[in-house]
Amino acid sequence: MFKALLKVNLTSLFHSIFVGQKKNQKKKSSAVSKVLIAVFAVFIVAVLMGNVGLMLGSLAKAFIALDMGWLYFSVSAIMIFLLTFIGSVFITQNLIFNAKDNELLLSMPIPPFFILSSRVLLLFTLNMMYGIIMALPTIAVYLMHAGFSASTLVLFIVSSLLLLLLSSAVTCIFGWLIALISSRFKKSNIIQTVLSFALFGVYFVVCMNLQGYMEMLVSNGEIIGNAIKKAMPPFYYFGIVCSEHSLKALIALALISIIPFIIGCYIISKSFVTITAGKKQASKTKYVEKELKVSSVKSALLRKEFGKFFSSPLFILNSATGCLMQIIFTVMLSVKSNDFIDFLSSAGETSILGYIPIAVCLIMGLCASMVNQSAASISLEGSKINMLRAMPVTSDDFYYSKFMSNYIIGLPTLVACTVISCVFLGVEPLTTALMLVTLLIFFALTTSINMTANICLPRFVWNSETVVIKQSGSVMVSMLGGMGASAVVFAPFFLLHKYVSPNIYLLCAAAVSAAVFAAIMRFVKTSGKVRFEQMYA
Amino acid sequence: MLSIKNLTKKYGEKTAVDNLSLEIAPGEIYGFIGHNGAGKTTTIKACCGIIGFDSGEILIDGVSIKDKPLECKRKMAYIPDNPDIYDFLSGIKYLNFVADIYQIPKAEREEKIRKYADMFELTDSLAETISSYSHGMKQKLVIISALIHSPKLMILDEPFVGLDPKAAHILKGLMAELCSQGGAIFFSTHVLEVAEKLCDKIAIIKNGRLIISGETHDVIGNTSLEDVFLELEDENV
Repeated sequence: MFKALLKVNLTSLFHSIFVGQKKNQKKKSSAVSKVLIAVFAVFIVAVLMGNVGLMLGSLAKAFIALDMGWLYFSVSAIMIFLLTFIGSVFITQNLIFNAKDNELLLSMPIPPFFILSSRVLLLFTLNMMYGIIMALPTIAVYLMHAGFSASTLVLFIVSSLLLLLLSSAVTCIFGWLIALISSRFKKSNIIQTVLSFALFGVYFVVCMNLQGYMEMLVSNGEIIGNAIKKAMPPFYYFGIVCSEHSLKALIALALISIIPFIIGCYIISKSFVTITAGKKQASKTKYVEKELKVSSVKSALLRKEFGKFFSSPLFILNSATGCLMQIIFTVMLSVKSNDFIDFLSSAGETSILGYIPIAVCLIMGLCASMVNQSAASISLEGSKINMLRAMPVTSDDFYYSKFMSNYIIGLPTLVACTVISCVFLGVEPLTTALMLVTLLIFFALTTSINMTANICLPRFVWNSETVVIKQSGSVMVSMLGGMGASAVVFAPFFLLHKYVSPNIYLLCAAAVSAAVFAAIMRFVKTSGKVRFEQMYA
Repeated sequence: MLSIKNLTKKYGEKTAVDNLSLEIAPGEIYGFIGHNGAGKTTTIKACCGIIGFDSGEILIDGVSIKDKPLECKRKMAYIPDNPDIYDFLSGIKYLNFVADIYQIPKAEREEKIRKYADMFELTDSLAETISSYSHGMKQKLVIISALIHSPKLMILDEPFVGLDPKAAHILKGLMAELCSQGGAIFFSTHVLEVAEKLCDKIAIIKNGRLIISGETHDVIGNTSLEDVFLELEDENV
């Protein structure tokens, strides 16, 4: 029974990532496009791993030299744990407690413990995918510096799997707490969203200061090592297992990882039924007849989009990351504007005043491209697309709501952060105005890219919104498209700065963005209209 | 009111609907019956403009669904078998949303929402989010949303599933009322007793093909609809 459950969950995960779900389509994606997507995914992962490897290189060298190889592994274990925890804590609630087939499975003679465990193991599989980005470079860098050892490799793999089990257990407990709160309170979405943003903010600040932390680790290795030994036994044992091949430490790590996992699953399974049914137990809101507001079709659809967006913390966190990053950048700039200017000064002999506007546009544009609500909003219609298609809604109305919701969500932070950054950096008013216009047009371009990705790659059949919001093809394409657009539009200035002033470059960037935007919207009006007529679940 | 002419729809190699022709006149309640996978839902979705079709024609009040889909959709209402609607909205917000889509004037929408919500005893729940509704409540909400814009044609896919007896009785009354005002109903159902009592005409479809259609009393004869249906199923085996 448990194997059957696990198989269904893993198959669902595999299909969501690798297999198209569009049924009854005459066309299938070509082998070439599948290969291209696979190559691209491998490229991205390789780049990420390369960066991690570079970062870990200095640590490995220093700690191996000090005969503290275990500390290298312990610190890496902490990073793997944090990466997998933060990566999956936001999806745990949707994956485990809000999955569409929970009620069906609970109606069958399946113990809740089995249902929960199968989902937790699914979470474990997802954690493995995140964890490997950190784990592979960790062991590769170590073996490069310390010499190859098969036993180190094997023990590292075993320890990593145990660590991921622990990470999954901790993630589940947090997800359980959040789900428990949600089932009791009507406006729990707000609490969840605030918590999620706070956690993400902490994670981002840590990432930004990672280099500093690495240097601090290297210079204070012994002190930190003692702290880990006393306060964080799982990571200490992890280090000892991998570097000193201690069987006792391996057994201790196994017990620390497996026992909490089993106990955690058992405890959570006891309230699993309550939590999945919890949304129906909240107190009723009494209906009081009020005057109804009349809107146009476009406004009604737009309001519906905002309703969907703000009802889902997962959707907010994943789709509005760019807004948060703009705020963080602006806050950091307000504190360290001199450091930013010094950094730009070191880039070349052009006056720093020349670089600042485009550098700010590049950063703000990159962040704005990460506001990608429209990359998933078509797919999130799910089977409701049928009802909408049966109503007198045109493709223009439909796409208007998708586009404008994304644009309006990202607009306030884009404008405010750009203006504030310019004030701190002393940018002239005319240049500031040109930057704003360029960024507004550029943001329209990235929004249209996001929406078009979802028009071309819709996914209406899914078990959990997590699959659509985090793992769908349209979201991945939109992220890459946005990054690419930022690079193509703004980066060339750093090669052309000798020949063109920032203001002229901004005008050209605005013109190019507007032209590409117009071409994409032409596609939406023509091919998008045909595709809308073919959308159904 | 609804004219289906030589409708054919294929999914790859499989023919879901094969050369189907039906005429539903104003004032008629037309029942559409068939086994699971017979092609009922495909036919209904094609009539609602949700899916395209390979050949044939569908006319709603004389207007082609292919040529003027918006004009057709303004005249009709679709009630699916599974009331999967926006669960993040409250009941009243969903109804107001639908009213906006159909551009129903303010006074009219308020009056109709009040009337039908009271009729289906859903008024007290209108402030709750749809996610807290039971299946039957969602079904009632979808029915209300279909009625508020006074459609000429209602297309329902197994509408009685999940409805309590009182709500089912109310729905039957409303269907009869709509037809008496010149509208038409085209609905699929597995509840043969309801089809037998309610429908003016019946069509039975099997493996995408029309087996029999006509006035209910002509189709049934001296037996019951269940007997006719089972006999036809056996014949074609």
